[in-house]
Amino acid sequence: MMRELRQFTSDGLTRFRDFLNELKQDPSREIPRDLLEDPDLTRSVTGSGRLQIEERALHTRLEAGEYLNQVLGGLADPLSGPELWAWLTLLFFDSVCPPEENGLRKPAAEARYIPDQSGFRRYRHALQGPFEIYRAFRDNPDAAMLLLWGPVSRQDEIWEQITSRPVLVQAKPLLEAATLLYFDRDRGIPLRGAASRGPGSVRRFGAIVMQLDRTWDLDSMDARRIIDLLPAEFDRYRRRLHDRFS
Amino acid sequence: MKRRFNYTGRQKLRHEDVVICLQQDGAGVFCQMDLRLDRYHFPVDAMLCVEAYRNFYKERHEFGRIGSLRRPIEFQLKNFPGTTAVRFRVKVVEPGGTGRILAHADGLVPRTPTEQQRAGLCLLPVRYSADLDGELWRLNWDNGEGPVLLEINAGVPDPESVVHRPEFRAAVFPEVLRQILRRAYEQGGQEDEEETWPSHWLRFAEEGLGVPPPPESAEEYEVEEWINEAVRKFCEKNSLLKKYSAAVAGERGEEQP
Repeated sequence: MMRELRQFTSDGLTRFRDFLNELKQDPSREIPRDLLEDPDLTRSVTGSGRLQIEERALHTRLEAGEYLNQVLGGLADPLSGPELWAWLTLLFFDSVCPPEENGLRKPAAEARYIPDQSGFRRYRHALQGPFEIYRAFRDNPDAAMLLLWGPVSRQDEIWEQITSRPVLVQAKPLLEAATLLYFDRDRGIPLRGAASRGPGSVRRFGAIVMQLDRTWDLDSMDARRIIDLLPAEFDRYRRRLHDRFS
Repeated sequence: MKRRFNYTGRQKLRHEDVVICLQQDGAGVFCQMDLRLDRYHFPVDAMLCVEAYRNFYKERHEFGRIGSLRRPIEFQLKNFPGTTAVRFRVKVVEPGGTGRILAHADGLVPRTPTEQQRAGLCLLPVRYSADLDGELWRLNWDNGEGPVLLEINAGVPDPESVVHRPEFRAAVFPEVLRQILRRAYEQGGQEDEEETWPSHWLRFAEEGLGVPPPPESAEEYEVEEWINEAVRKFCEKNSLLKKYSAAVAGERGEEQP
């Protein structure tokens, strides 16, 4: 179903926030879809004209990032405030916060549904995060599959570890290196152990790369060279990569 | 205070040496960078790059060897989702493809053209000195090699407030500008591609005040006229006389116009 793209007013945002709080108390609460077109609580979003958006299922972050970039790509500043992203969350609420087998929803922290405007915590938003990652990697989304593979309804440890360090996403070869190291393309999921706290994990990758970034111009290197700079604790993943391509 | 050791030998570019001015219009987002590297002594074939970033986005611009930079350094942001909260990182990278960073500045906040104009006097660093004897201020030329400094006598009460007082600004800044432009013109720099203090000030006169310096062959009276015009524009733009009058009226308890 196609709808006009809208965003909440400040009153609309408050109403949506109220709904999220009520949902925590009553997980069976119905989604207030009538808010989406309420003229007192929403207003049109215009780019070069009125924009349309399809109410559909968004299964993965890749799908969400790609579709939202198609729809919002022409806006001058789609990240300027939380009103648009909160409205989109309500529109795609069945994907962002799907009911469990018993029919009840289990909402996460508010920042997953209404972007937290403070600093880099905006990446926690279920749709804005994938939108931004996809936008940054639109020329080669494969390089960001370590982040884009999962469902929009869930953010795992790997997502948290990487997106909490924007440098890892800003420098494209870095996320490409992490995807090469930790993503199993055959199975379409990260390798076992990548999300752990142990040696060679994504957590350690983030910490080590932050140190390397102080000394090396990592943007000018390709992903393989960055992987070569990593210390011995990453050998397990490095060997696998070597075996795969040799 | 947390102390850190720098084992990398990497230098920190001072933020006052890297000024980025950002302007957005219907045609796009345009940046102009004023970069002063004369104090750092990098190899001329070190590479310069600038990264604009915000959240997950980064746009990188490479400008090649610092010894052959074309001035002014200008670039356009093409893939940024708006300009709110955009920051810049500048890197000087070792030549030869090693990728080692020789120097960097991070978290640079761009200025709008208006802010850039207002910040004109940042060209003149201020130092508080105990060696001025009976003088309140003095221009320090550092033997003509370094950037000029405005020295303020550290012995007066609240020395840091001196340069912010309208009375001081109105009385001293025109004369400071007059002296600096005279010496900048004499030392030259408008055709000089190197970043030197005279070139900064001659550019300030031309771009900040709209008064281009006369040619090298100009007669003395033409140079004098150019300096007078630049000083007049400077006083006008900064409303020095008006602010002085308001401050004096305020001290007397008179109603300000």
